[in-house]
Amino acid sequence: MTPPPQGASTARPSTQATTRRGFLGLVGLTAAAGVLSACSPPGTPRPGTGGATAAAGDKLKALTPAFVPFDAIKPDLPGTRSTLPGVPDISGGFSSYPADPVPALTRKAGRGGSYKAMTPLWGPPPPGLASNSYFQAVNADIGATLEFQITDGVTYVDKAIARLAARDIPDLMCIPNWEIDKMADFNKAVDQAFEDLTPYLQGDRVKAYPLLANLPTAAWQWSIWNGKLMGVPYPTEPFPYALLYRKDLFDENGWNQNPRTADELYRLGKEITDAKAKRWAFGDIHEMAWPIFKVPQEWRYEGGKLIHKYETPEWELMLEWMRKLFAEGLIHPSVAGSKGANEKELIGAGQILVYRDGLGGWKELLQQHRPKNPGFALGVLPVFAHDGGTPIMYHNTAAGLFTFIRKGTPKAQVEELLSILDWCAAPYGTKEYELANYGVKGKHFTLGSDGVPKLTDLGTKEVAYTYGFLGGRPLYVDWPFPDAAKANLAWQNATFPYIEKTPFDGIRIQRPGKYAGLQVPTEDKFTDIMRGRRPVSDAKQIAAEWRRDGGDEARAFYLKVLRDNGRA
Amino acid sequence: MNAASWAERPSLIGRTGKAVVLTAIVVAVVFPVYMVVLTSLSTQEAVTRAGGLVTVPGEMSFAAYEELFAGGVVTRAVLVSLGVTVAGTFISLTVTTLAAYGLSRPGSLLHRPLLFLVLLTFLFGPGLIPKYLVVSGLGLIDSYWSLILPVAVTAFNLVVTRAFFLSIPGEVTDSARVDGASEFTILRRIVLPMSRGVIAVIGLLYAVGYWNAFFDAVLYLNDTAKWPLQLVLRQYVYQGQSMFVGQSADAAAAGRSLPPNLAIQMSIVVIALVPVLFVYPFVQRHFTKGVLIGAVKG
Repeated sequence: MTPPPQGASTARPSTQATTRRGFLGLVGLTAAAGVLSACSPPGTPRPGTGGATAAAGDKLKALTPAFVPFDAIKPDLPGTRSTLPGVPDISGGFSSYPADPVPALTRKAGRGGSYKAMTPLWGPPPPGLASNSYFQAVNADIGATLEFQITDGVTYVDKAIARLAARDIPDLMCIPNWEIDKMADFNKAVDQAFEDLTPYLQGDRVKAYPLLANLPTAAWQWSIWNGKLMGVPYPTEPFPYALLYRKDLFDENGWNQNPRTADELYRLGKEITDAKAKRWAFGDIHEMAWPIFKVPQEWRYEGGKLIHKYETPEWELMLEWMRKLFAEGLIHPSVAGSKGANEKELIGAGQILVYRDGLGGWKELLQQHRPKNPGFALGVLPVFAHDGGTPIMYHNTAAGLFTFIRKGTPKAQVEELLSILDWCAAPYGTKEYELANYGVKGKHFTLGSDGVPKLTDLGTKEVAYTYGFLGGRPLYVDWPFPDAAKANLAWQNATFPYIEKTPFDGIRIQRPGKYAGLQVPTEDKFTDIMRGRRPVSDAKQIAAEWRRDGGDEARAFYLKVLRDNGRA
Repeated sequence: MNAASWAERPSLIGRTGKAVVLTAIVVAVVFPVYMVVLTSLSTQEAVTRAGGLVTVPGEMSFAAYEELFAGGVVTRAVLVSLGVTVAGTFISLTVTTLAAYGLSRPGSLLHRPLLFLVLLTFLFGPGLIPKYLVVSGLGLIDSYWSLILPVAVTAFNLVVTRAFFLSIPGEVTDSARVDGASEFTILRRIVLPMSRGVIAVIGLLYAVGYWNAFFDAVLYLNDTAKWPLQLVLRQYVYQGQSMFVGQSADAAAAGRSLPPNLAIQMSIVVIALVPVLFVYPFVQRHFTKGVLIGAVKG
């Protein structure tokens, strides 16, 4: 990855980022797959070892499109331009909705073609193209007819696999990264099903599509399969999750909002839990206990050996600490008792005070509760290490989803489709983004008193997140709550320097299926320890079972990847 | 209760015991339904205060139902589901009874190998991709037929029906034949009227199957306007639960990303439950009889 041109970034590089330039030699991407699949929908990864591959960053470098920032939009809350290999940017944010969005493109994107696009949806389906004025309006602006084949996001992988196997491929097909992880042999399928985009986008050729050229290089590197640029990436934010807390209640009671060690967090939990008042300190925060105890995100390379997180002493410390939280009743009983408790409902009701969630949960809760409870506020606990030392934090893969073009599409149509994806990649603050996300002003949405778009009844019925899945765009924090947006970005920027470096930075790996399939059953066993159903001393045995059932095989695979890349 | 004259009157303790046990069972069944219905009728504040399912009635509102039925998507899906259920059940019953009758006649051509093939499907499912290939090869993608034809016959129902037909005494059909009835007439005029119980039962099984199915629709229907109720309701349940971990900005967040409040989720459960709840009592009296006879007299 070449460093972004000086002064050209849409987000001003923070001082922390500049100290990281030394790591530029190690170009690449880290598999945050463990993190992703921990949150993925039901349906464990399919067994089978097919599809496990790795490609080194150096080989990827030559394939990626040039990076040309789109300068018309400047976020007023600065982010951090990532110079860490494979780590997503913090794009920055806006404390208010731009009153006058700028047009991103001057010419029509489409040339009158008609295309079908398959996208996921987590929400009620909108009416189809024929009876949907939103789709019609957006298509008119694009200058082509896109018809969406909206598919249930939770079972998306099943349909995607069936269509890939049957060679029943739509013109544009979105596939989330976590679903690709579940597909054995995706490496073969991708060649047979989708068009190679390298000749259209490599290097300076991307400049024909200025908004695609605005996508971060790290995200493009994730779009490479078998030495070819196969899809258009949807970039991510760096952090998978954080510890969110009820700031309003903390302020009111004067509780400690800055615990610096695991013990301080535990003592905070003791202080604020009051079962009689139906108030518990925590939801199930074990995934945040991992970085607190400095458990590696996945593997650690030490003394010529690869050690998996389950085998580290830190992992056992984490288990012991979590077990204490469960045993002493600091975790809400309906969370501790079942897997189905809705922690968002519980924190909204003030029955839990600290929980683990993606930063997006913050916005959702504010949207849900602020209208009726203006004092409702959340905060995010600063990262810390269990012993008060230097903290670590995990990071996401650089792309979360890809859009592919059907193989065999004629050149002129590929160019039109890329031009349409370019339109869809228009970032926050542009006319195109506004139209794609909210529809036509005055018809599908109006600006509220706070200047933020609000869907009308027609908009609620017709507008669905569809064009947004095509292509990707820098992710700005665009919340209608300036206080929270500022606090969010402050936390992200402050946490960025602590992102953990992994042995595989610079290597794009698709996890072997058997190894991926081990995760859920193994972590279920560790859950038994945390919840006091098995002694902590069983941890070693569980790790041994994991090694026997495929862990050692995976270790050999990953070690070979390191050797092949001259790192072991 | 008409106890047989020789039977002792049950003791008070015995009767109290029975009452307690039965009450406990009824409460265990009814209470969750009560919570679901109550939550679906509660306001957001009441749900928030409860921190989950509502057990004590607070402020009530039909807002959840209004939101579901506003916009016409759910209403349309109800019609689709009703259509698929009615047509599907009719087709399934027709095909199943015809096949079961044929397979129950000892003289039918190749009936043993055919029965063997049917039984084989008990053991081996076709798998997702082969099924998709067949459906797409027949040109059924995006057609309502894709929800009916692949599941039109269930081996279990076929076997139960066949067993029931076998239990009809041969003398009855023989006498009809002597009177000059054709096989079709025998089926229509003699066998089917004697088999109302089993037909009611498998009809209910088929209907519930069609009503609850969502996965075939996920696979075969690209046009959301054709989605059946269960799939649409599922989408409401998963609203806002995008798998974009850590992406606060815009994925699945175009203005209506609010996670469904519990009231909406519970009203969905109610909507999905009601039709089955209504039909069940009418078929219930056949239920035990039909299945038991079919199962015991193999």
